[in-house]
Amino acid sequence: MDIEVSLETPVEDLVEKYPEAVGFLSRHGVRCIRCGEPLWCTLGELL
Amino acid sequence: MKKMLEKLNIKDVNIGACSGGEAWFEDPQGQELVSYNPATGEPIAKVIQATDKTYDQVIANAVQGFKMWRMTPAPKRGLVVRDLGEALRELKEPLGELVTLEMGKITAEGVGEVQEMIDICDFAVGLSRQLYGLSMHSERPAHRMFEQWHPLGAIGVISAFNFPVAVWSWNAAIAAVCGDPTVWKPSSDTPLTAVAVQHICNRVMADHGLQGIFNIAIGRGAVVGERMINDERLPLISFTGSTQMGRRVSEAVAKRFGRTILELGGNNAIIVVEDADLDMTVRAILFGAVGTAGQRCTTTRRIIVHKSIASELTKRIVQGYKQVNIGNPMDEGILMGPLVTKAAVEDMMAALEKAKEQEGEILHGGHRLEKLGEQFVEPTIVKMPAQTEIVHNETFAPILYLMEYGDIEEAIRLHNEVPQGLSSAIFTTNLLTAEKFLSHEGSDCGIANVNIGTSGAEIGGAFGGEKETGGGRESGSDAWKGYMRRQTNTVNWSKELPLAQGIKFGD
Repeated sequence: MDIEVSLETPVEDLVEKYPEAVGFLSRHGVRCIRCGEPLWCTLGELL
Repeated sequence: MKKMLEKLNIKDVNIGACSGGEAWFEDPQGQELVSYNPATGEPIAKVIQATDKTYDQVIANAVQGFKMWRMTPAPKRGLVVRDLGEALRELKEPLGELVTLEMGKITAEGVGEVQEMIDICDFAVGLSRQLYGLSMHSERPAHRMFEQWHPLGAIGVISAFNFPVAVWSWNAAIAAVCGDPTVWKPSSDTPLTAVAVQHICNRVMADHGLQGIFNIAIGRGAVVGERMINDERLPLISFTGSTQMGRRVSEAVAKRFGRTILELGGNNAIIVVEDADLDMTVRAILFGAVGTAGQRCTTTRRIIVHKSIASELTKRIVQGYKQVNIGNPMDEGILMGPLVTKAAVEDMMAALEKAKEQEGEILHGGHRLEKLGEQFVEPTIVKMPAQTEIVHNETFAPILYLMEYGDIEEAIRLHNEVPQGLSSAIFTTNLLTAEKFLSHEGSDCGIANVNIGTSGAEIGGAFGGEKETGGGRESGSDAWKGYMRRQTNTVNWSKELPLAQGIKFGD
């Protein structure tokens, strides 16, 4: 099931549905996973 | 695989909230979590995650369990943990295989992890008769002072994917003899190993007429994790994970004056001195950097080598990396399996790009191994001209950074410069250099080794680190004190009421 990505999207959902986003965001200074696990916050909290 | 899952009572669909054999809690609102085999990408089985309702049922049982468990004499509690150790011995092979299947470490490491569970149970059984408090000489005549260690309450254990069962056991076995039930939230990447362990615990609890001592609540961090860290019914949260999440956990628990045991990020280095035994050094580096596909908290991530031997050591490490068999971790002869998720692969590749931008030179690896599967990568060696920003960050993947030093002071400065402080090692045959490294002007880590690598700790020592690693200690030594509350007692057995410090009050 696809999800709509917004600032409120939980990082855990984003990483599960769109793992390729992890590399893209990391290249832009936003790290979604640490120690191999997604952070518990929303995407907005990381920005 | 089917037989192994049957032995461990893993079904196609499993319940993720439990307090005992008769206490599996189902809620139709519970969402499914699929566990995948990282080597093949195929689903293994599903777990119905805990909801607010079933989480509360688990916690209520744990709190109720505590009231009875704290009144059970500690040596009797030890007998329950002894039986847990025996049950784990019986199921060591299948449980180790499940660790491998679900998480991706090689079978030898998966079975080794279960051995670690057995070891900590054995340790805890002995400890159950050694929960000693000190006695002190009172400054007042005919007074006796001493301290007692009392059980604390139900403990929240939040563990990570990389040691899906051992870290739970470090906490649960020690907490159990201390009189504390545990409520376990495993990683969402490894829920089945937790279900399997819960079945084993249920059997042991049933044999002793118990319920609510070992509990699970499987679910997202943002759901179950957040409930746990903000739950006043859990006076202690033991968290294993990243520094970033540890900060969130620490703040939430501190707000309610709860306690934490934090096992957070590491950025572990080995200093290789010019007099080191290079054969031994290379073997230690290989195990430390490539073992568990670089996904241990104690993985060797940095090599700080004396410039006079840098070329020779580098040559030998590269040769060693070429010998590493990569493939399905269930297969014999394989030394490195996949990374845990596709996201972890992306994270590694992004880190390597940054390393190259920061003038890192890839000496070996650096690529995905798509022929083997989407989550396989080459273990990678990167020569860095300096300890740049990317080297200061922990990337949970098999990336090893090589740097050179001129004198031992520079090596120690580089070593301690990173924000993390978990594990460290030096390879040298010079006693003075070794002692300097272990001294208060040496390594600033919680673990410092001589002629042994950074990973592969034994359960007998206290495990944990300093700085951004969080300061927590688990497992052996006196780490048990973190799971109990200390009470200082003074008894006056005279007929007078003298005050401390010689104070006269209305005499």
